[in-house]
Amino acid sequence: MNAGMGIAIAGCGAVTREYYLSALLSRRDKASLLGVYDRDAASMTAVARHFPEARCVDSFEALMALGANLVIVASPPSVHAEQAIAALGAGSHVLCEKPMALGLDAATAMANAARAAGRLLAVNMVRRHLPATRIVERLIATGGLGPLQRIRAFEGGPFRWPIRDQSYFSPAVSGGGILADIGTHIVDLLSLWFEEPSFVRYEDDAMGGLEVNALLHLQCRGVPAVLRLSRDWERPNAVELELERGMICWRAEDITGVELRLTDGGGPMRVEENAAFTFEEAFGAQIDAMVDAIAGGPARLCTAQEALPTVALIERAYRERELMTMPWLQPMEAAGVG
Amino acid sequence: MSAVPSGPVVGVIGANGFIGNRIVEMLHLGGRHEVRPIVRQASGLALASRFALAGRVADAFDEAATEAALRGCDIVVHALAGDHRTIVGTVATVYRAAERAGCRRLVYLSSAMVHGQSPPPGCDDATPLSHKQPIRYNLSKIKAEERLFALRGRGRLEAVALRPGIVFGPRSQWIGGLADSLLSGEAYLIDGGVGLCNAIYIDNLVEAIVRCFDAPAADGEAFLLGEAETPSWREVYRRVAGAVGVDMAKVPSLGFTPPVPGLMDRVDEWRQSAPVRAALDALPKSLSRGLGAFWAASGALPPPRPKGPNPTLEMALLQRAQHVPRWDRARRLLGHAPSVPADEAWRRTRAWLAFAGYTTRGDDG
Repeated sequence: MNAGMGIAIAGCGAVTREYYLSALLSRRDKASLLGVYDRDAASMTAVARHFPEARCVDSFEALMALGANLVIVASPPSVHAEQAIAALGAGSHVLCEKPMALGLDAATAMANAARAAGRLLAVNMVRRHLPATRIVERLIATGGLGPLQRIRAFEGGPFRWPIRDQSYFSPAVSGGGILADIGTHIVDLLSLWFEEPSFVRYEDDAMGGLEVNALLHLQCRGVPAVLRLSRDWERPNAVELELERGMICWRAEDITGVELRLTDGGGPMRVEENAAFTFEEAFGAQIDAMVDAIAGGPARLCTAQEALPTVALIERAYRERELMTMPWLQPMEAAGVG
Repeated sequence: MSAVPSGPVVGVIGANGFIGNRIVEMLHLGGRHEVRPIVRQASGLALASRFALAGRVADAFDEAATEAALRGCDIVVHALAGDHRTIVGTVATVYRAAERAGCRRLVYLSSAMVHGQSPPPGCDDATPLSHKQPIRYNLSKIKAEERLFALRGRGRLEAVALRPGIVFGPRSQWIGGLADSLLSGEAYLIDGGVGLCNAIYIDNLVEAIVRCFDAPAADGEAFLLGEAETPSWREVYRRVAGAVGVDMAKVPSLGFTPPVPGLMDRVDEWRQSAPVRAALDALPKSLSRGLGAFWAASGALPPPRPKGPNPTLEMALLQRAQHVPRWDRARRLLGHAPSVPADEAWRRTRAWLAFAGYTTRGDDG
């Protein structure tokens, strides 16, 4: 890692507090946090107090004036495009939180701005850095399990992310609910493991607001992929990849391993690596990858260009959404929904 | 939602809970009421965010915040679940906040458990409440009701308490939780589950809540609620087991003798209490992990419970119930008349299990 890489953070909400903070603290000898910006002064101060050298600034423009090599855009999705494009224009490289933008137009403008500025813009698809997802990638890449037959995924449970305020649930701020949040991750992983999936059908339960339950039907390598996502009820998380000679099952909370079940017999076996790895460290690995890439080296990143198909797919899903059947609603309520 | 609300504005405290969520959903989609979900933390607005509603974040212990959240509401429904401190401690703060906010009536979600999990024969709204009960939840609800009606005695805000029994339906722990325990092999019946389950379908409860908004004779009263049919616990289990494909023959029937809690159980109870957990949650992750490791290494924790059925006193009392309370007064004074019959309630409940992601068989066992 480059000694003295200057970093600035826009947005001091939950993801910065929970993950970027510890990732940067463990890299103080290699990178320095020059400054932070958040419209909420208390949140900004809570982050900055861990970094005596970091300045709290009262505008995004002031943050840009610090001249950081790398700007982490961890603000609400509604300002990702504006802030990322401004940072790229100011000569910084940018690591942007997901979802990349509220729509394909904005995301494309971001990618174009990066190209025009000759700077790196990557989206923090942090799950790419988990040992478990890397194991899946390798198992698929060997081809030993044969062709893909089917994909099923469930992820979710009651929403517990420590958000600061309810603007998180504003469609204009977040751009979406569970699909934009968790769906983006799973679609990205399918793109990484297999190929960009294609859209088939999408249902959710939004009735004027944001969805908490979503059902996304895709095609991936010509076979069906069904993603069921929820901020509602807990069921075991599982991404199940059924291949001709075996099934890989990854549970999202399992950072370091997957379950492999071979078709020709034997019980399920656990494949694990780097057992001490934590989710927080994946954020550190993402920052390391950014710094390595800025230095011109190879890095495991989801570049803006690479992220565009996922943004396009999510946007299409919202555009063509159908209302989920909620079988408990009384006829009068169902009429109200319609 | 196309209809223009013509009924009262209803604030729902605890809108993220099982009952609170369904109140919000039914009232909003019903179109007659403007509903305002109120939750303790912003994350609690996730379910309500399906609708374009102006939710509020207010800790029910914080009187000023709750008053601000309730301003403009005619009715407040107190549907907050929690531990003893929450149940007892939020009654006064919510009452005073609602009074100052200019609300007209508070509907408090109490519980039929004020008469115990195994109520005496002939139990009804006139039966005196017993303060000698082994389950703390029951005592918490009794205390909360006492506080509520004492406040009503000297306050302007009208107050009604409802006492439902086992509220079931979509998102109920009695359904989803039971499905989970059946699937994991932790479910059990006590004495074959022949005891009576004082079940009420969630929509029938919400209908009773709505009746409380305007019923003139309801002020200052508590009402037991129930349904026309009372299933056995075995029947409830059979329905859920059938839906998720678990063979009822594999659900063990156990007896139950109350254990005597030891010192380690009490230490663990303290460690698991809400204030201690809140304090631990406030610590940096590395420190709370370290403390957890210290506890584990100290030997001060009780041994982990063995996998499989672990019967509790509460479940034993529930499943040994021979009687359910009578709810004639709710019928007479509130007009309580459950509109969703049992078969339809169970059909919707089974369908929700499929919606939630359970692999369902479609039969009811």
